Amino acid sequence: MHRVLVYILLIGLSAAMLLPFAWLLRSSVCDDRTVIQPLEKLGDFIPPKVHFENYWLVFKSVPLLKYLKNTVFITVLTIVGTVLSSSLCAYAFAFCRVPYRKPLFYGVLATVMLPPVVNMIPSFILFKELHWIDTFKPLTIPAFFGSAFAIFLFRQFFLGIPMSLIEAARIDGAQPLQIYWQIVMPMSRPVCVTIGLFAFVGCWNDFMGPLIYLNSQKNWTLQLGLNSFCGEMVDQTNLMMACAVMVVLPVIVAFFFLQRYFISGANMSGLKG
Amino acid sequence: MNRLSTSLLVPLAALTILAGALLSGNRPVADEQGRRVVVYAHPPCPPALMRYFDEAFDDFRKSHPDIDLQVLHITGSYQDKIKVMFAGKVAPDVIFMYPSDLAAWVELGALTPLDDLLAANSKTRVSEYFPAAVQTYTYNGHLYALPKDASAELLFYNPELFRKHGLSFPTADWTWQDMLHAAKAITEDTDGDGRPNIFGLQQPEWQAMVRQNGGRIVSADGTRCELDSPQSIEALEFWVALRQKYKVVPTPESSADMTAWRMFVLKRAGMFISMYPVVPVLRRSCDFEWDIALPPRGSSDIRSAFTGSSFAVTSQSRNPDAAFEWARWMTSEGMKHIMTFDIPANVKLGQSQAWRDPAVLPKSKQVAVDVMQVAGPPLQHPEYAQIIDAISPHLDKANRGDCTVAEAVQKIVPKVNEVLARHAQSGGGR
Amino acid sequence: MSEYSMDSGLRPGGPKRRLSPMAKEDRLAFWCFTSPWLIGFVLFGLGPIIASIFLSFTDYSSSKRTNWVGLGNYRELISDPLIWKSLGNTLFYVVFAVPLSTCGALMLALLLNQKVRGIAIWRTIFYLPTIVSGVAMGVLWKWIFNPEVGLANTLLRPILKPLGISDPKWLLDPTLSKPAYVVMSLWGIGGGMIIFLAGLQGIPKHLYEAAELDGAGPIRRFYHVTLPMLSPVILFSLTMGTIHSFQIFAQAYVMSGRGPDNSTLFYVLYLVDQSFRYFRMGYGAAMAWLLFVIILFVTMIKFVVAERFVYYGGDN
Repeated sequence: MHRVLVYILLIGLSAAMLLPFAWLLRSSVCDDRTVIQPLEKLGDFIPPKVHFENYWLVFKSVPLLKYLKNTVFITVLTIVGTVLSSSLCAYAFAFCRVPYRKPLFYGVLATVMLPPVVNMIPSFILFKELHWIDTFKPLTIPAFFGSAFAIFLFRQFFLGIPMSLIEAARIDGAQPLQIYWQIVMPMSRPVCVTIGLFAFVGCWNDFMGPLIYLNSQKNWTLQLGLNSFCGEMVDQTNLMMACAVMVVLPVIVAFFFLQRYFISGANMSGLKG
Repeated sequence: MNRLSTSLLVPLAALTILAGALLSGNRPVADEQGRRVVVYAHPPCPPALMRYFDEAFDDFRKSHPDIDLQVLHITGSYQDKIKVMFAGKVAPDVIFMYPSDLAAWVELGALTPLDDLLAANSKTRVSEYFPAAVQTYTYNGHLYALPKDASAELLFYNPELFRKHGLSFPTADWTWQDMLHAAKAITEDTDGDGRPNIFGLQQPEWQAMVRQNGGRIVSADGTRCELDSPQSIEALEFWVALRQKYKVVPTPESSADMTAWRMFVLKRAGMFISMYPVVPVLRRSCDFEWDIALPPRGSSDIRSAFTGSSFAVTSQSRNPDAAFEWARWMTSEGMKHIMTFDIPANVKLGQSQAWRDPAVLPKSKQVAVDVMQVAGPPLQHPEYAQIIDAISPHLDKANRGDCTVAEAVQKIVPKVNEVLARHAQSGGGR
Repeated sequence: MSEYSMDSGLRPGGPKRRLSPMAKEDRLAFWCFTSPWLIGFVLFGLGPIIASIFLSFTDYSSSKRTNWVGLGNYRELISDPLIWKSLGNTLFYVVFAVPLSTCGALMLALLLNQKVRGIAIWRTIFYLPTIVSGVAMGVLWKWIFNPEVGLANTLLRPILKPLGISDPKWLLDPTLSKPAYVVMSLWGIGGGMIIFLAGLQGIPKHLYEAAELDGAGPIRRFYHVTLPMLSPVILFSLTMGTIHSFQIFAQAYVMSGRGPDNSTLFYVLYLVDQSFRYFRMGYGAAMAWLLFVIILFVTMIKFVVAERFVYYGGDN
């Protein structure tokens, strides 16, 4: 009975959750006219004629693979940078017993409370002075210097790790970096995956960053390419949707394979105080 | 603690990454062959149109080997990116400029007045452009942008729906009453659910109605809001009546959030008022014949707002004369690449037959040129956006039927006056 | 004053207590490990922050000459009715969206932490809406909330009609437009879900086993094991959720803009309008700092309250 209930709940909720993606798929195979037509009844959801060639047209219209290459480059660096730098920083906040760790931690947190849009112009001026405009550096290098979001999340998880474990390793003569790498990180795989995923999606879907910092078309990312189907008056909406499906696909695949790191009790069950 | 702590590796690594990033290959700023660089910021533009522009860019590069034209295609938030670039003092040399934004950019000191550049350039004169266009891009007595396309508000209509109801097509001397008459006839409930699903027209913008009736949003001297003038009130009342009294325009509910042209394309609106750049959309999306006419007349001779776009040379341009040459070329010779969907603002080209391919709609292309006679600049005020934002919520309310036009205007006028006063105070308007 | 401080410098306790080697190592490790963030902050963060504080006292607008206006911007903030309106709108959103989506995400994580067939697919489905971004969602939501042909009303009509309630107008109705945004926010719970999923992996199995031995049913196990063990992550979700919700902007930007009667004029939407549409960067910066103070205040309260409820397993 319990099982059945769970499945009913899952099916009902996932129907709602699938809606955005279903809409995307639907729009991606519509023709110019159908895609702008409002749905008068639910039956209109399926377009009268399916145009798979839209996907082919996307490739003909924009150099998608070049954008993919750029995006992958930026994303990989961002993920690596965010996970490493933020976990190190969180280690300090969780395990180093210094009196000022709390105030400094709140300082880290405070940096995300200012709406990022006010920093847009000062940051641009800074990166311009560094001659980083139209390079991938403004989009990747800051990731190596920690993100408050990731530091906070790592810290919350690290605080759940028994301090006795750390102390024991120290008594055995392990240095902090060793403890970090050999004890804390292996135990924190689910968080690492979570942070990595957030960094991945955030970077992959970032539009404003690349828009502001990149100029030449050879440096464009997928999101810039995706937006190039929009115009001031004319949109090629169906092609944009087809492009959006292709842009989203790698993220779906990545998530599908990464979610197996969230398997209950796999990591900590062996540890008993 | 005698041995060196490995913890030090962390700052070391961080500094290494930083040093690497700071020292590694930065982009060269100047053109390698010493040519004059012109960076042109192109607005969002889908690939289907972009290819025509690409042809134009190539053509320019061929005919101007001494200029390195670099196209910066901005695929969204065009103005935001330009503003950020301005702040960073790396603005493009030539930017796209729309009529209602011009005053704000000028007051910021972002644009170069073109008077001297025009005088120095032997290839062009102001008189080569339609006067309405020149007037639109002139602010405080200086011309700030070269008009690209001659576009003004036009009435787009669906002849099929007119014929069906035995109506005669809109003419140059059409009045509001004629439009209303046709709209009433076209509005129809074809699926019998008690709600009309085909509408006479898409509700025009209130600004268009005010203009057609000779009203103004802001007085000529820029000191007060004039939406409370009899012409303006009459126009706004007619505008609301189209929806509330005559019910010939779709409500936001029934239009399912479709923009004006979408309703038209789907044959659910017989008419709408828009500008010529919507033509490529209609060509692509309409499976029926459509045509254009002059917008109907209220009580004013000037009944259409100039809405085209233009090229402005920025004040940060390092090569203003080369930048001007690009703007000049693109608004004249270069137009041949994009004439199929943009009517050149250059009088000679605009009146020529060159862009009038009889095979493509609309049939009455001459109307798009004739409208220049009855077109005037839109509201030119540096606080345009603030003024409109102060007005819109109240007019929306009136349009929903939640208050009368008079009540809305009563609230609007002091708000707009406040914006105007603050602008005057902050030293605006020189 | 000076005498007093001299005195305190010469107090008998003057010479510092020697730090133990452990404490010394801790101190070194702390500064080394936080150094990437510190360097990054000084280099990339601090400048813009100082700049924006400075700007908030000026009438800076991108390229015009800038004047010092002192507290002018802040004075204007207080008398600007739209500031209060937008703050109210934002607060409404925060108050409803944050608890709802945190609870939703938690329940979803519990549901998807069970042994269910095809778990990978279910999880992917629930995560999906958070990655389908921007423009596509805008069009979709407009259709869903369309009063006449939209999905929401198509589903609700059979329930509402017998009750004599006419079709809700959602985004076109000043009272329903904000709730519509709250509903929309629920499609983003996939992100919270994976955070909670990660958190659930950290709960040792033996705790559940022990609880079961004590005869605790599933509900008591949830209250006495899951909830306390998950509390650090819940604190995280609530804190970040609040911060992000206070900064809600993109959705409104693509969907309804300011909405009927400015009912979806959210604070950051107004801030962006001021900074970029009206070219009033100085005023925008002042707005940003007001929001900063508000968020800081809310977060501090949250942390003070949390001290009493959050259980950090490692800290014993």
